[in-house]
Amino acid sequence: MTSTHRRSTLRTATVSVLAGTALLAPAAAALASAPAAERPAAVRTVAAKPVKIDIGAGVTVTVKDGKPYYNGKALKPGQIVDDGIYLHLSADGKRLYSKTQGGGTPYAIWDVKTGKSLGTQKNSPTAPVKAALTAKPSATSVKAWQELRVSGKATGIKAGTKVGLQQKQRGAWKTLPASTTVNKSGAYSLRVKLGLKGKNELRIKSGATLSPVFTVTVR
Amino acid sequence: MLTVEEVRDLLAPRVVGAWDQGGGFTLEVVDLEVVQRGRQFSVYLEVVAPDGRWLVRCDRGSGESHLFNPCPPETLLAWVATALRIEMFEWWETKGAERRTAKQGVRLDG
Repeated sequence: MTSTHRRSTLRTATVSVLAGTALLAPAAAALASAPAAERPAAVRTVAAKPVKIDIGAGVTVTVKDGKPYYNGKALKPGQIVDDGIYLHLSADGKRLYSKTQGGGTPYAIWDVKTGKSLGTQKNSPTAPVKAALTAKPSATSVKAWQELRVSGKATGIKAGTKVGLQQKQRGAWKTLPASTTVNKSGAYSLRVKLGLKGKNELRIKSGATLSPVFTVTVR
Repeated sequence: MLTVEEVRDLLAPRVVGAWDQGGGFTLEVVDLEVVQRGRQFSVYLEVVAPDGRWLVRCDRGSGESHLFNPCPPETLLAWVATALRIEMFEWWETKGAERRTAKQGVRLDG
């Protein structure tokens, strides 16, 4: 257990050195081949070097042991701070989002491990994504009862959520007995057979979310 | 207003019989019964399927309740008959995978 921890710490230290701490580089290089008994003391020296992220407005977030600290407190994954300065640590703890000004200024994204900027984004990382569905049939014209596939993407809908097919019948939408679930990447695919001859107006439904209407002609 | 028996008699010639969707099997409707519930109604189809006899419930919406008008239009009768046959095949194709359609059918021969 102890030896695993040491190896892991050493690897972190080596990465930090490669990231550009020139002064420490020779020591770390030596460390890599040093006997195991000598490792802990040297490793402590390298690991103690914190990453500093200057998010602007005179505010610096310090990263110690992979955790960003703001006002002396470690941010937890998924946490949001909004005290005039907006900070959000992603759920996986790898990205830090910051915004130091109001209005339409974008959110800055930072890599927690290296402290480097990953760019900016317009939308709030914690704003709820509006649920939406797309739907595309594998064929727009089929014979009666010939199987086709309807596939698409679901955004703002949890993986595992059921999506169903609806058909317009004499002006009213009827749910057909065809359903599937959204996978982890937000995609779904549904096997469909249609028997109502003519132009079929169809759409995909998941809860209150509806896809745009698409048509399949059954001949 | 027509009675459920009269609606049943109007639908029977269009629904009773063997139906083939081209999948190498037929579903045969041997009898049907109409049950009215407010503005909606259900049609119970007695079906002979490849695996036995079933009673399949097909719920119809209020838009089709005009079938109970004294002189229901021929197009509506034809539509309801087509919809019932389609729903019967939908039930057959999906009763193993969809809980909702599985509930529509009750086995009559044990």
